[in-house]
Amino acid sequence: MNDNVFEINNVSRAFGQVTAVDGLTLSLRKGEVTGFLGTNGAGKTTTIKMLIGLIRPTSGTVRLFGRDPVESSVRARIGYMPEMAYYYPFLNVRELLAFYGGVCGMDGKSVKSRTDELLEAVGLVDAAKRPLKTYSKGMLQRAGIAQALLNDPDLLILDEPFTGLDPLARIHFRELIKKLREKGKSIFFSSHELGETELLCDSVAIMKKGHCIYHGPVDRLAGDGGGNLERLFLDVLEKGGVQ
Amino acid sequence: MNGRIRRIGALVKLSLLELWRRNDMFALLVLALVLLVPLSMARPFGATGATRYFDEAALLLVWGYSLFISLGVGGRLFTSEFANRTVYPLLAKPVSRGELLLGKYLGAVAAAWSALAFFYALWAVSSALRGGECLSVCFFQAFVLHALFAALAVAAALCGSFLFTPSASTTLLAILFPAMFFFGRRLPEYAENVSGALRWLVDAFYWVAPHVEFFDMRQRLVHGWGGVEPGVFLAVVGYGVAYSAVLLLFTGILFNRKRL
Amino acid sequence: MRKLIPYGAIALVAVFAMSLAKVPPAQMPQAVSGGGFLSVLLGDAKKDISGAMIKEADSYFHGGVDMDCHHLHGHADHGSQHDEHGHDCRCEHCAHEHMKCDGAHDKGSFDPWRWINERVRAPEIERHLEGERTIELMPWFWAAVKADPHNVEAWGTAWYVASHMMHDDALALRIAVDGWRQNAGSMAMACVVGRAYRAKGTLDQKHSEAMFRKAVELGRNKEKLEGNDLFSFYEALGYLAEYAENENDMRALEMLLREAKRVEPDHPTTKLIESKLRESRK
Repeated sequence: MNDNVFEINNVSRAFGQVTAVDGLTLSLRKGEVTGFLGTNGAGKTTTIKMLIGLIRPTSGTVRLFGRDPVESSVRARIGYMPEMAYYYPFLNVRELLAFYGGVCGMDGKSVKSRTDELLEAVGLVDAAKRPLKTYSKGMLQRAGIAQALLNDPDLLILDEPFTGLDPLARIHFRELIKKLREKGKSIFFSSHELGETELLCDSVAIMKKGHCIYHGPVDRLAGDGGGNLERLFLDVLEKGGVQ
Repeated sequence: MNGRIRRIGALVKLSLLELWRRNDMFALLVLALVLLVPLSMARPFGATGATRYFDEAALLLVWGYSLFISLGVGGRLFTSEFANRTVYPLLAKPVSRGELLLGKYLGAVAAAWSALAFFYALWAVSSALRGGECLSVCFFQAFVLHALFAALAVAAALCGSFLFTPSASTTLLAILFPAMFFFGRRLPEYAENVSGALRWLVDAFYWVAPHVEFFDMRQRLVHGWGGVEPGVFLAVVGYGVAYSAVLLLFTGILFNRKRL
Repeated sequence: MRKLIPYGAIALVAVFAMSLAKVPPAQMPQAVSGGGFLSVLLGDAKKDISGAMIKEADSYFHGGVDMDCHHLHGHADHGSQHDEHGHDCRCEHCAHEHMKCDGAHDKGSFDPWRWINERVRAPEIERHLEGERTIELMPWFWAAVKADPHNVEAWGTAWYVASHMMHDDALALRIAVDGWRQNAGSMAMACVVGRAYRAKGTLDQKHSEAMFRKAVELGRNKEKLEGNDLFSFYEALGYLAEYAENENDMRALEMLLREAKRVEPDHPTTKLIESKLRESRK
């Protein structure tokens, strides 16, 4: 039985003359946490968009739990947090979660209990009744994490989750990710925060100009990079790949 | 099926909350009071008892408001989602683009209708207080047709938001709708006074443009003409539903092809 | 502080508007023949707006039907919806009793949009406003004279509606006097006031006579009398002749006859005064 939560097979995506992703092959095993790294414009966001079915690849296949992510029902098993979304300013976080819960087809009771749990987990209980327009950037990020986790997804896809989080919030978030991993959830996140990525991930994939130039476990770093992820990252980008 | 209804219901509720929390409604209500209260107290030549002018003014104001609300709500539906990047977490949920479009549209229509019901209720109460008859067949027909107008305006604004920038779309529709409202039925007269390509253009416009004047039953309400024949009523309802459906279909195609 | 900005803006606009009203009309870019804030604001458009208000009053009188008699619409369907005059009353252009729906403009092809418009926007039967219900016309006349205080037609029609339809002589007189105040150089307006003082509820022959004399005096000062002025001149002479006849004042009748002959010797009113004089001499 295929243990992969997602599989990206020789996928390319072009926008006119520009090839954002070129021949990418990547997969994520169940229960794994993978960091998705790369410079700006490397193709990370395009890859994530193909993964959640927002756009179709020009060539190759993308499979989410063995199915095409464009099928809406398969997305019931994923949670996605975009980079810096400005959620509906006229709602408070409870209403936001109630809305997303409804969109996920959850009933009111489940939404309520899940909301209480998540607000506690992301530290927004005290601000629950305030409209989102009064939230800081970090608080909006936490609301975004909460909505991504609302339907208890098997796969969590996060785009720059650490943006705007203060040190305390980062620690809380790290603990949250660890708990999710212990529950057997798979997590795939893109980030520029190499330190956080190194602490959380089982493996990293590094993109450069639409190609995945490195994909390997983090615990191999001592051999590959001779040290830490930052050194590996710079090495990989300069050399264009690792043997 | 339950899941689909829940998904669409959640989207509808979002639009309703947005309209009633944006303070637009309250601003419009205050403006209405500022305009209509002095008007209701007017004593032309010191005489009292005239009411039709007030009904006409009030209903014209309601039409203006409903256009403003419909174009505003419809135009903002996806524009704000794209601008605030909330379309991404939405589409990452188990909801198809078609459901999202339908749910957002129905939400906007529900929002526009709630505002319309509010203003019509106010007008009915005001008419009743002045001794007029309000809850008649004509009133019901007028409300239903006006509601269809709002649905069509929302569909047009939604479609326009995918074709043009928000301000361009709103401006175009804010010109087109009143122009058709007041002059649409006179287009054949204008066509007769021009020739050549211009005549062809006017004729084509006459056939294709949304004839929003069909939904206008103000004169019937103000002057007590009574309701329209059932066949005519159904014809106008059919026109409104069909036109809105075509606009929605076209919007669906645009949405599916939109690069996200 | 920021919350006060909208109120400050409103106050600024209000101050600007009030100061605009105080600017002498001659200094305004558009030609303005009268004072008043509305006149200054509307400029040349006041006549058009005033005219539009009269048209609306006319529409109200006909039960809300647009009485544009320019018969450009074709009639695709005469159907069976004819009133007692034999007119197709579904067509908004036929609803008036003066129009005949003879199919002369039938274009032949069916226009569904016109079919719908003719049925949504036209009443089954045309209804004129009558009696007390004609009060509904007053706001439009009022708006007409507010937009253009020199619209004598509006004042006159308002008076007529108040006097002959609403049978409210006091209101009619009020309207006439207000109109005269705004149009002291108008012969037609003078006659309106004169007639207002003839009504049963506000009968005052002295004032009535004075107003008709005023009309004649205004006519005397005009270089040439034509159109409405000519009509008003002879109307005033006719009423003055009636008053003189009632009082057996031959001298007054002779003076009136001289006035009448001076302008149009063959005018019916001239002939009428002549016959009154003849009768009085018998």
